[in-house]
Amino acid sequence: MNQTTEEPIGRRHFLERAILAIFGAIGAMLTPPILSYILSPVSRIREDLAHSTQWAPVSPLSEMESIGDLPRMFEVPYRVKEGWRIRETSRQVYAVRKGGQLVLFSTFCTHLGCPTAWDESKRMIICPCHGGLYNNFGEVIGGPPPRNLAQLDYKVENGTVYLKDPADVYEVGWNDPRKRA
Amino acid sequence: MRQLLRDWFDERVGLDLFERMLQKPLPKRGAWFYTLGSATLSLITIQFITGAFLMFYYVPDGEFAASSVRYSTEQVRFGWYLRSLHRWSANLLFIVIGLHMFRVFVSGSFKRPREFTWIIGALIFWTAIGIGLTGGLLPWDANALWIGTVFGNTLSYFPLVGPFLRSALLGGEHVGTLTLTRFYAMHVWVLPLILGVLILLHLYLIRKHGLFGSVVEYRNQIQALEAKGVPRESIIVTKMTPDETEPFYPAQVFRDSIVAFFLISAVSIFSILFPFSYRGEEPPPARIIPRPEWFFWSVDEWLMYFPGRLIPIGLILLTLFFLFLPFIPFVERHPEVSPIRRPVPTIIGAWVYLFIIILAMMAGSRIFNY
Repeated sequence: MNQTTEEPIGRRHFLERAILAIFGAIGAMLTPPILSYILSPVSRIREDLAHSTQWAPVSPLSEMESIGDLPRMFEVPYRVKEGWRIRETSRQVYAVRKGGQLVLFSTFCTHLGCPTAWDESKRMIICPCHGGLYNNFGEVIGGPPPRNLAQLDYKVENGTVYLKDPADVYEVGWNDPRKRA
Repeated sequence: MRQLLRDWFDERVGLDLFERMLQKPLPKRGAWFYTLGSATLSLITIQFITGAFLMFYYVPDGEFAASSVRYSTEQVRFGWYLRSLHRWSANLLFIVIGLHMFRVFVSGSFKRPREFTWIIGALIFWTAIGIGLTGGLLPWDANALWIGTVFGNTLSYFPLVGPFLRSALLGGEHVGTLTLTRFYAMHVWVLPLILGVLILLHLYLIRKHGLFGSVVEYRNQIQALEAKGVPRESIIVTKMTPDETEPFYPAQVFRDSIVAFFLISAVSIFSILFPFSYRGEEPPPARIIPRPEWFFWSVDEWLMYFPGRLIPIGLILLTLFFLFLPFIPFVERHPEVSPIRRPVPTIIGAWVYLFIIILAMMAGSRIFNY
């Protein structure tokens, strides 16, 4: 302490600034690469979706012909790309006939994404997490969900119903994130 | 001989520093209440020890995580025991932290000059929540998957940055392998490292400020100073008389050891009577009912009351509550520490706790009756 106070104040001042600058530079060298490293998967979301199943077979159309205005649940297997690997998984969708038209919609609650299920005795779709309630067409009738269950695109090819982009499971919120630009 | 050995080490590592720490005087009054902090530390130590050994068999990969958990639970000798210890002491930890915070708040122990001890404590609380949250994903069973999904989706409701936060946390658009690896890294290294540093700072500050003193003693000192016309804001009350105190070692260390022994025995007995089993293959996917850990029940229940467009408001209020915790010493600044003589903070504090407990109980009854 005695030594430093005898030094000219200019030198001490310079050294203090230099120390700050040195650690600032070290921080600047490390921080951007690390942040970018952590966030790397975020920038690859589109790419990963492009390498996942585009059209997943739901069921033969003939099996869906008996569906009326009560939703029936189907298990849809698909592949999803996760970083270095492609994982086999599945999701569930509801199929229902609305005004003569076959409609597929998601089982994921639009509140926080929990798996809903059709309750036969209560005649509605119930989310077990926070009590979201939907009618047979997936329209909100109670609880916290901000919008109706996401309607899903499908196509019929060679007598089979295919679900579009099954790996795109981000569906919560009052705007459908799947409809983003 | 003992003195010789002591001196030999003292010269080389400086035992006097530790000896002075051990001799720090503590108040005799209410000494058992001061064991809550050390109880927290005991349980965190159990977490570090059991956690380190759980890593011997755990594989943080979407393909193998569940089977590695199953192996360590069902095949490895005492694997079920270590895993149950880890989970039971995590459960107990949140109760003990809650009690510790309540004790410190009610007895006004966060007041000048102990603001930073409280702030670091609040940061420790945040870190513990983060560790609890990230740890819930690691068993990689169906429930873990939904917990991760619900947590990520909750974040997505933050205005503007929500969807980005969600995908940054999950490492993509859904809970998958990349989510597991980052939650694992956070759970076993990043957050525990931060926790360790914070605990050291917390302990340093406790030792620096030494005894807090009993409420009665403080009240008398404050009254005496006020009678002399000293303005309330500038009052700092300090030392107690020696006969009201005793050294930290051995009396308080003995109390701490007793509490540690009973807590760890309790955790051990719970682990033997109610071991956590591997749940990966039950129940079939269509019947899955996601169940958060009970220490998130009150949060879970809170979010239920903000439907539709109000969801972000519930989320922001919740965030503000957590962000507010470190600032308590700057909000309640007068030197009075007695819970009876500062009724407004005491009542607010008690109501907040009651509110949290009631929310959790409502969530519990909802979750179990579904």
